[in-house]
Amino acid sequence: MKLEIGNFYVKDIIFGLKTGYKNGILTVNKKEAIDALNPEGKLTNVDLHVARPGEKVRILPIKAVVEARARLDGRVTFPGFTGATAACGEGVLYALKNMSVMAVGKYGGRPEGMVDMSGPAAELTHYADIINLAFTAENVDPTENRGDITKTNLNYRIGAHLLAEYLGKTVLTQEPEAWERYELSDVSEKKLPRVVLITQHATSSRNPGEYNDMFYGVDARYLVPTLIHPNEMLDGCMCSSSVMPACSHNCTYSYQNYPMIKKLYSGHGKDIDFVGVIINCSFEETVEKKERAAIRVATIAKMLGCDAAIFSQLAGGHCDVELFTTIIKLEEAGSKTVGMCSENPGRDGATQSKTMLDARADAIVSTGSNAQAIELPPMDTVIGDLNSIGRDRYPGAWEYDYILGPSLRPDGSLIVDRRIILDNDGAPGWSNKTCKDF
Amino acid sequence: MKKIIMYLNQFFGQIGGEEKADYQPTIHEEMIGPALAMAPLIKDGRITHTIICGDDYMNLHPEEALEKIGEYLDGLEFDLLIAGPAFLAGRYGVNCGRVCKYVQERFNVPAITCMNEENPGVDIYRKDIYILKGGDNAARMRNDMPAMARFANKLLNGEPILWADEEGYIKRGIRQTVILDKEQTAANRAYDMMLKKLRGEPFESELQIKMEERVAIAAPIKDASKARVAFISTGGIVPADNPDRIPSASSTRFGRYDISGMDRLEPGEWISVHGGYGKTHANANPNVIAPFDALKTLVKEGKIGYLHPYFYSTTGNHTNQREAARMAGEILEFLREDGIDTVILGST
Repeated sequence: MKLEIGNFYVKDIIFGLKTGYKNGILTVNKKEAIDALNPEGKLTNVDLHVARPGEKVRILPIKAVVEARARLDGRVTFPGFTGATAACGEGVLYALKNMSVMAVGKYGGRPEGMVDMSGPAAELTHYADIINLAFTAENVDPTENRGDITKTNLNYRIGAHLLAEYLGKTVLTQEPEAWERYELSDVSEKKLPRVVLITQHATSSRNPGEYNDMFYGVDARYLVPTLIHPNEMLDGCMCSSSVMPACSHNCTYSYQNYPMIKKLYSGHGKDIDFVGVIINCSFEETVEKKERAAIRVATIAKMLGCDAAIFSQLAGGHCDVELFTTIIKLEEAGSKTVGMCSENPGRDGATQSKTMLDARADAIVSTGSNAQAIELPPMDTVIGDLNSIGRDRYPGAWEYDYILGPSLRPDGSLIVDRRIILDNDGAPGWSNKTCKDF
Repeated sequence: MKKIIMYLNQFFGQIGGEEKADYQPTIHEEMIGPALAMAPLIKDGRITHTIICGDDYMNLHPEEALEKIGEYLDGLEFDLLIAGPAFLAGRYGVNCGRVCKYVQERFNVPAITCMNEENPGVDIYRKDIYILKGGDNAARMRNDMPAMARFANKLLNGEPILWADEEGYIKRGIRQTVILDKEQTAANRAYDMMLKKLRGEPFESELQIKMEERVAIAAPIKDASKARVAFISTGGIVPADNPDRIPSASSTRFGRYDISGMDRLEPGEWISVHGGYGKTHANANPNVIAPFDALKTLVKEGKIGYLHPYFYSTTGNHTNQREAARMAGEILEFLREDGIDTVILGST
């Protein structure tokens, strides 16, 4: 199974008459792009904006992030989600690098986050390092426009994936500037240590409707851990949810560019024999289900003859129990396991940072605290709605706090918890942060 | 020029030794003892006053002592209080922590101290104040003073205080984000950690999980008249010539002495070498520390089944946990040979 990704490195995005890519400049026809992302007219007041690294720009509430891609052979980019179901992981993809497509609304809430393109918050997320083409919109259905905790954001999520596909198609007639090639070649004769990656996915919402991660376009609720080829993950088999708080929100962009998968590929045939990815569920509501998931992960790893495993955790709380339970089972099954996770030691840093701790998990990479408060300066431009801070129910922002005052101050500066920063955790491997003892 | 207050006990304040431990707080417009060594190490500040208080007085009358210190400081301008260093001295360490916490809270001025990690003051005050990691005895002053001065200079200059291992202070139980170099991604770190774990090479988990090692309390002896009993002391009782050269503090050795032929420990033949308590009573009657008079009587009366013929002794004073655990393991081998099922551990 060979996946080839032909890359085009975008240096800037401008708006113009004809959508096209030339010499690193992506020109976007606004009307055409908006029609592409909103085919059924379920969104209104749609507009497009460009946010570049270093600019004094604040984007919120962000609902989805996708990398712009398309395929040569006509299959849809996100099988099952933006079109007919088809296999992922094989063939040729074209990708626009150094940029993302972002869906931004008016109302925030639990799964929505913020990105600053400069200032102290820009250091906390990889999305500040790329050019973001953000569309802003509201739902036509007024009941969908609300700043509460649970909403599917489905029109935004589908819109972002469709816009990504529309932009990807503009380069299909051109020659890529560089290629990435992914193939799990047979290196068994080298007798290298066999390594599996465990990724954890938003599968927790039992509400009817499509809240969770979409696996081949199907809501991943009730997922039982399953072995997939790493190429499937890099190739759009998983589209992101509307469940996790922003700091822990693994967007589709993150799945398409999963840093830990790329790192394991770089060592395949040299240090290790990378055998695959086990997609794991999260927030299972009973101990028995958590145990069952851990047993499934460990059993698959054992059947694959794994010597080592890396577990990339999603969020905390329930997931802490799932992380530690699974690590213990993997170790018992003979896999030396490393966990990758964020920590939540409370705003003052003085609380135990994981819901469960077990000394048998002796190799943990911390991706930083998502609970620490941070003060952020005002920005010149806001894409979205700054007044969603304080008004809407974001984890990590508040209307008023007796010690810290309001999150949103009259001059547009903020005091928030890092929880509101989109992918502050960076647990798929992005994060260049850690936690230290002070 | 920033202003600093020093806090010292009666010994380092040059008032006197144990006999002056009840010395009440005084303040001096001069540098005394360690303050003189500290002064040249401070870059942009000077030590304006030294406060001295006896260890026992502060320990027995903390409220009065702290209030007095508060009164002394009320009229003064200062930017930092430095207490100690206190090494492994238990009362001094606790008092340094106590004074720092009090001054920091009452005057909203930073207060720092320095002591050995095993000083009881650490567990009580590490969450409240910065405690620099210090040596276990006064000979380590030459290391402790520059460490305190370097940290004091950072505080006085308003420089950011980095994490505990980087700065050399004892962890306060606070976890915070640190941003690393761009290439130090979690993916790169996890990959390296995995390879090291696979290869059996040392690595450091970024979330260290230590489950406290607790020794379960033994079940009660059902019938003492059948018990095989041994006695071990950390009270420093040894034969008068101290043949094993058991030290007065920070012991790494224990003595094993045959007491089978005697009914009690005779004064003069046995002495205390312990450096942590007044030895007058122990030397007048060593059985107050190691009660072999009582144990032998209980054996004769049939209330204890059997007494191990050897007496094990060391000094618990400043002895660290690691050494203590090692010595216990070595003593256990002798006890197992003799089928001992009950140990009485006496301190001072």
